[in-house]
Amino acid sequence: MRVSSLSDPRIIEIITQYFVPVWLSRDDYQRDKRSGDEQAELERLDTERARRKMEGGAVCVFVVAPNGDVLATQRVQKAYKAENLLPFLQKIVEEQKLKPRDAEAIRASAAEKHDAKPKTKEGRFIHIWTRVDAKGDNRGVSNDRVELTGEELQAFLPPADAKADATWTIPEKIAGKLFQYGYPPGPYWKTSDSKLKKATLTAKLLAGSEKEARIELSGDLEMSFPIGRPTEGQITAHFVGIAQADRDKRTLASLALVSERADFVWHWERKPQTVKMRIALEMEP
Amino acid sequence: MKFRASVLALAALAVLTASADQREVDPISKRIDAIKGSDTNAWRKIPWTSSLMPARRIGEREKQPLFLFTHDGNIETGRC
Repeated sequence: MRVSSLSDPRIIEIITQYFVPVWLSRDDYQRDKRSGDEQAELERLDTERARRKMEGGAVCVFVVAPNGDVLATQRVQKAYKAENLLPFLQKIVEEQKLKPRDAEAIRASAAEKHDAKPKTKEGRFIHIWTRVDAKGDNRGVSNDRVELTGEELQAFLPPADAKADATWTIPEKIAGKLFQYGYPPGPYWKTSDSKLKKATLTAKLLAGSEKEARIELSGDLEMSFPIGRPTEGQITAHFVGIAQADRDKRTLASLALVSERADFVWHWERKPQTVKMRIALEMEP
Repeated sequence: MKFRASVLALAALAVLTASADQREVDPISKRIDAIKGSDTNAWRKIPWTSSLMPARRIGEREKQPLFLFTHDGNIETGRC
């Protein structure tokens, strides 16, 4: 739904104007645990939906009246299409004689966007984006973030006396920390399920000055990632990248990596299916 | 005269080197932008409230219904 109906301008418009929108993940593996109140309310809504034999399930659209009654539901297999979700919402607007929300109220009720800060001193965030280029299965772009500590970032810097063309190896633990998110966007998939088989990164000092260094990066990833069964998915990727460092301050100014080749192989009726992926990594400015 | 010509030549070389460096950076940046750019991020324009209980209170106060989307995974990271 994220990449289909919820990104349709007509759906965005009607939800924004007439409803108080909220999403709720049934999982908490990447998020804080929900409060007791919220859990109880979710269970109440689920129970009411089931008792009234309304359609839906774990992934579902609920429309909840101001007094807490469940007005209507639509299961995701329908709601992911704007052609289904739009008339469903229009019908509620008409039947309930809803008036548009006040613009100020909409603004005030929206969740504040918090700019998270790295937890470690001199730590920096690295973003990892992945996307699949298969036709007919657009799952959008994943956007994970991992923090490298100041000490880990030092591994990308050239030795103090290094000359152009000098090479060094980034520890596998650091490469793996970056590459573990290099699996396709999609549901149910936990980062902890990915099993790294190979995560290498090598650095080469390009021409630079005594103060600045430009560093060429190349690396490889081999990782298993299950879809349903433990051995189903295999990811192989080759990366190239560039980093810039301040040699005086011993700090990393930028870091960017992109896959030159990335394949996700899964199996259908015991036959391997290869899906082309693209993976990018970049340090937050 | 020779000194001035040498300085100019070095300056020109520095500019060329900088341009070359920039060209080396740009292809990577362009490819990263192409990967992270998506026409499927528009859902973020919806003014989502922070969580269910505040949304319930807002709905009650404004006398407006909730649009509640329950899902698996993490919508914010595209893992859903």
